[in-house]
Amino acid sequence: MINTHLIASEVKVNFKNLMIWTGVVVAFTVLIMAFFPSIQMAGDDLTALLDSLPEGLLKGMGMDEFMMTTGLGFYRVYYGIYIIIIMGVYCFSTGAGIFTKEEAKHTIEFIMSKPISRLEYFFSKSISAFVLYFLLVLIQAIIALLAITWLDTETIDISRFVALHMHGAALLFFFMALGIVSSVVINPTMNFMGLGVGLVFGTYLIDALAQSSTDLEWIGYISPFYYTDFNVTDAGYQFNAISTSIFFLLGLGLTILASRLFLRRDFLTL
Amino acid sequence: MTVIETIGLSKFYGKHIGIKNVNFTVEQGDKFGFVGPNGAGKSTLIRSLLGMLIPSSGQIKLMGKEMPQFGPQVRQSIGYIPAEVRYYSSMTSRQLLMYSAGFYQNTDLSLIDELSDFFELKLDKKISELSTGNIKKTAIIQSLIHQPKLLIMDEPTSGLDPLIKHKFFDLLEEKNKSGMTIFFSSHILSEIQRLCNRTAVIRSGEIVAIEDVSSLLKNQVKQCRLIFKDRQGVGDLPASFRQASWQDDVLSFEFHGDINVLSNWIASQELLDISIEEPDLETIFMNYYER
Repeated sequence: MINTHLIASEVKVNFKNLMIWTGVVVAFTVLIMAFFPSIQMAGDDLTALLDSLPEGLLKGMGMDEFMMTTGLGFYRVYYGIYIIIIMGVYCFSTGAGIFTKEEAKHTIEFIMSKPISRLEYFFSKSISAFVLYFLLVLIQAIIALLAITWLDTETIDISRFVALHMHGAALLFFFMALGIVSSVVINPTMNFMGLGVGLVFGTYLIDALAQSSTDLEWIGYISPFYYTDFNVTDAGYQFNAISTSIFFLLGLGLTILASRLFLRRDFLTL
Repeated sequence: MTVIETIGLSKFYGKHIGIKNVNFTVEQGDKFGFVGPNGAGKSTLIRSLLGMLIPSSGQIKLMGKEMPQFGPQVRQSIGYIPAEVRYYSSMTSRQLLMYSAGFYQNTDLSLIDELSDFFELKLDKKISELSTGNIKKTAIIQSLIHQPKLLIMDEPTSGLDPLIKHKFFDLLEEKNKSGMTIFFSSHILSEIQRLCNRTAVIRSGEIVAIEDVSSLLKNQVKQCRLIFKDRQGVGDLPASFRQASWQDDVLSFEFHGDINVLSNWIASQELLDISIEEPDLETIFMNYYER
């Protein structure tokens, strides 16, 4: 069902791209955490400033008064918005690109003349995409943990940190699966990076809008961000096994659906 | 053993016909030519054979096994040279060949150096830096390193210089003698004539003839030119003389039919000279397209 030669080759070919994206995400993580000690020192003033802002705006931007006093709270604001959006775009475009590049560049003719079945090709490619996803998520989480531990004077609550990252990882898995299924149903020559930016950023904005007002909460139901809990500073914050499992299962379901569609597909050849 | 068999194979792209009701067989050891102009359906057929396109109807059997069910198993024994070669531009030829070899069980890696020497190909240049001819050489080598029993080629000589083409044909002859079946698709008829023993002619997605190349040449219209001592005594020409025209005492015509009719008539004439020419494959091919 899988071809390790193809998986190894795909990971190798995409490794440079992974390192660039990981570098951006890690640099951003370290950069924002580098600001934390000075933010923490001006905590009372900034907390007062935040208190003066409308609650809807704070919720929409993922902020609360704890973000200035704890390293994890400060990190969560950036993780739940910028880092997730950057990684979401990477996951979607990698999921789509791992298939569409072969067709757009017409190298699919080379691969499909080899002794490999369509399902073997599909699942090997999908697994290599998920390996890249896993490496990105893991490296970012490790660097974030080191940065928070190093820069925050208080002890970090590991269970909350892990829960935050598990929720993020589940959402990213879903975005990657969306990218894979998109690659099968949309013309492979399309700009999937643009589509990824639009989809991830668009669904984030929908959720932000839903969070900002109870009147608009209904609109949030169509955004996967709505079902992802990043509020790590809430008193009862814990790992949500149900939403995490649903995202992973939806991602698997979409991948299996994509494989069925892939079996019936004519490849774009010259 | 039948190496390729298609039964009622059709592929439609919406209302457009790719190939329609294609039936043919290629036997082990054949050098099978597949002739047709661009857009006639040659590449559609080849891509259907290799499983890149899903046929609209019909059956494909390769090495006696149903496709696409046994595709991966069968493709262990198939080499393929595409018409327009597209490879990973950041790889060198050697990396590409090693990558290709990794998919097969029966690879002879020593063939990489052997064949690159034979074709005078530098293996350590990136694909993006190679000329069309050198990319084609890479494609030829990748199609042979797993020692296939069937080699499917789609316009394989485009981009090759005449010297390399000559070496390539010699190599194909040698491989064929050692048991490799050849499926050679081309619109260059002189190449088909040189290499193949059987050929199919495809027109607008349909096969219009499948014959031995020699009988295809034999059974066709012959170009005749007779020079008479004196045109006055010739009389009426037989009905089987087509497109007859006189120029002084020289009669030119096309003949198709029982050769004895021609020889008996010639025997009754007083001639100064005679020439009867076999048409080349090009003329035969054009006849099929003009019908």
